[in-house]
Amino acid sequence: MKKYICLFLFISTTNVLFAQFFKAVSVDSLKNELTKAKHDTSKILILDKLTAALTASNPTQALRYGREAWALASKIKYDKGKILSALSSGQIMLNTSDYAEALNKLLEARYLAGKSQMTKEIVNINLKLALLYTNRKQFKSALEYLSKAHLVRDSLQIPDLDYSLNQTSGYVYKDMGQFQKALGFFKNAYQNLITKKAAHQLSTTSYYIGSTFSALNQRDSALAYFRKSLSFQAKFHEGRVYYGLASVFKASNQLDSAIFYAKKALTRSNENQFIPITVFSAQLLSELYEKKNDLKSALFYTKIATAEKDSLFNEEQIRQIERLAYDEKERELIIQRRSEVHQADLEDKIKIYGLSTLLIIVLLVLFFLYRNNKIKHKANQILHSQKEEIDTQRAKAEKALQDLKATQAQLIQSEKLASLGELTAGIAHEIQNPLNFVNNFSELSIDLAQELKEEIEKVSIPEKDKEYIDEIIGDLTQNQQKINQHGKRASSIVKGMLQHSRSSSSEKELTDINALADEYLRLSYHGLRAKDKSFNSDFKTDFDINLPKIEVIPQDLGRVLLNLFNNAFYAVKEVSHLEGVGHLGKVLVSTQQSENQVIIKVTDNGIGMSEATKAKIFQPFFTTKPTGEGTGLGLSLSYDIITKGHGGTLEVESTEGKGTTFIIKLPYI
Amino acid sequence: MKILVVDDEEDVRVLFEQRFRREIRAGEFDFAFSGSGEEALEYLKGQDLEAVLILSDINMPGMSGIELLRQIRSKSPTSPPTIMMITAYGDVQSHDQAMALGANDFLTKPLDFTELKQKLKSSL
Repeated sequence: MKKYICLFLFISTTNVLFAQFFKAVSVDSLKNELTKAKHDTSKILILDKLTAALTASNPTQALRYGREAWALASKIKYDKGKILSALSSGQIMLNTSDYAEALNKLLEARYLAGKSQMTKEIVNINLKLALLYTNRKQFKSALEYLSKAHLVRDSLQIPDLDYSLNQTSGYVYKDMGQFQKALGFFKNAYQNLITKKAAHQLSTTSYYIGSTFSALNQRDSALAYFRKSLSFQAKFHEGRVYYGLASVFKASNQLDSAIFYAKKALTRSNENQFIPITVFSAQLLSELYEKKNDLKSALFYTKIATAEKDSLFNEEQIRQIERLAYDEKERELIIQRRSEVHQADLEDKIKIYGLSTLLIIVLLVLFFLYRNNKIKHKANQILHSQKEEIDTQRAKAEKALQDLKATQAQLIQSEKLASLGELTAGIAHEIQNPLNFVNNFSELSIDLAQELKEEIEKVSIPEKDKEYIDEIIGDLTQNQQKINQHGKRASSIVKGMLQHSRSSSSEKELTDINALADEYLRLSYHGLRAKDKSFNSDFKTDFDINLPKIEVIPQDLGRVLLNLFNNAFYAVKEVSHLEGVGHLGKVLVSTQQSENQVIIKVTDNGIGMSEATKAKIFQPFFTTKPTGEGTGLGLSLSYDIITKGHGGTLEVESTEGKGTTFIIKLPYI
Repeated sequence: MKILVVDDEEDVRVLFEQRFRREIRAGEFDFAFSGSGEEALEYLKGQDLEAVLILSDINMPGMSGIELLRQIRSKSPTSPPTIMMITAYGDVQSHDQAMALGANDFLTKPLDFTELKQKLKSSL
């Protein structure tokens, strides 16, 4: 019971934050606003203001408004409203020593404020819980809540909270008996208030400083601060200030003054339903009257004190507080477990999100790599196809260049041959006439020599002279014959030359090339056999039976073919001469059609030609045959007939010692 | 019958005179010689054309044998003189042209005098 009496000494200080509710707010106007409020949240806020406004003057009504605000906030799940209501109601319950319900409300408010991260409210709730446990003399818990409040305040730097923290800290340490430390906090709190000129709060802090000096037995200082507290005219505090003054006077044995202030304290505390002060004041009066031997009065006040004390500390309330304290520990454990589970969930979620993000990044990277690879592959394909196209075009260009060079060479050859042909034709014409004279005069001279011989026979001359004359005439005749022989040979050459310049008068006609080639092949072979019985050679034909008839001049083409066949047989005959009869010459004539062309090939396995010979083969007068066997005009003439006369080509492929192939290509449409 | 040989070559006269010496001496052939077409036309002005046989080269400076032929035949397309044209070997184009203009015969160089002699005798 003694500990509860000590508790009473400090319960009167529980309105450490009370002053903040003393606001100049008209209760009537708030009630009026309440009737007009349309929304539940507005109603809750007005109810809370009413609770605060009536806390000092009418705590019972204030608590009713507070409970109404709590119920409404719970109904609409308005957490802020519940927190405000819990703070306001909790303060009243602390004032009225209803610790069980105060603890219940404050713990729930703390849970909700923590959930909503309402930091300022959390600090205030922690401070109220520190006060509650201080009143309950459970200083360990009180210091824990105080420490939590300080930590939050330090981390957030909220100056508004400095006063509350200093005031509550002073209260806790004073209650713990650490008066100097408490005095320091209270003075700090007082300094926090000076600039604000908050009368009610200054009154409260002054009271606490006074009571601390009183505990330190510094009565003058105590009386000075108690009087300063009264100067602020905070009626709510007057009960406990009077009690403080009474206690100081009692300690200085000024019993009448002590009784005076103790009665004022009892009266004021009754008005304010401040039960602890009522109890303490009644007990003090009982002691004072006892000292003055007024036992009747002493008994009277003892009864009052006992009655009030029972209402304050009944057994059920104590059990309830202990149960709540236990429940709070459980609740904290649950919250801690929830927090751990929540933390674990959070970590899991972070891991999942992290992994998901990593997976998405990996997928994105893979996607971009795949995309880049695809683009690169596509670019490579394009490059490859472009390269192939370039190669193809280059091959075409190179082939075109080769064709162009070949055509150019052919053109140069043609031009050379053409100019040479024209030149030779001109020369031939000019030579022809003198040659004719040479031939005619030589023939004539032979006849004249014969006539001369005949005439000499008619005259008589010595036999010896006659023989000499005959010999001379014989030599002259022989010389004339030689002149005639060589003249005719020259004439033959000129005739060949003239054939170049002579334009053919023959018309082109549809001709069976196979038949023409076959006819001239046999003509050539048998012609050579007629001249040289020892000559022998194999010859074969490989004709395309589907070869179309084409427009050619048969006589001219026949002359070309005859020329080529003669050359071919001559070439194989040369090999036979070189290698003996063991070598059998072969001449193959083939025809085929390709791309609107008729191709005639004349192939022999004769002596072949060197590159130098090939380069000159179509030039007029070029021949590899011995003098007198060829004029060197056959292939030149053939070339002209094929290229100029028929718009075709005449080409030669030859390997020295292996054979030669002449290729005639004649266009047809 | 006069045989008028038209040729720009001077040696033609020598050749004909030596080759047909016997015929000339025997009075079988009577040759006259002109060095150009213009000269030949001038000669023909005072001649009885029926008694003239012209033996003309084609390729000559100035008036060619073909032009000479054209001018003679333009005056009397079907009447005398008899005209034989002589040209270089294988000049088929000239042959065709001369025959188309009314030449009576055609000979190629070098002249085959045996053949010529026969043709002259048959024409006289």
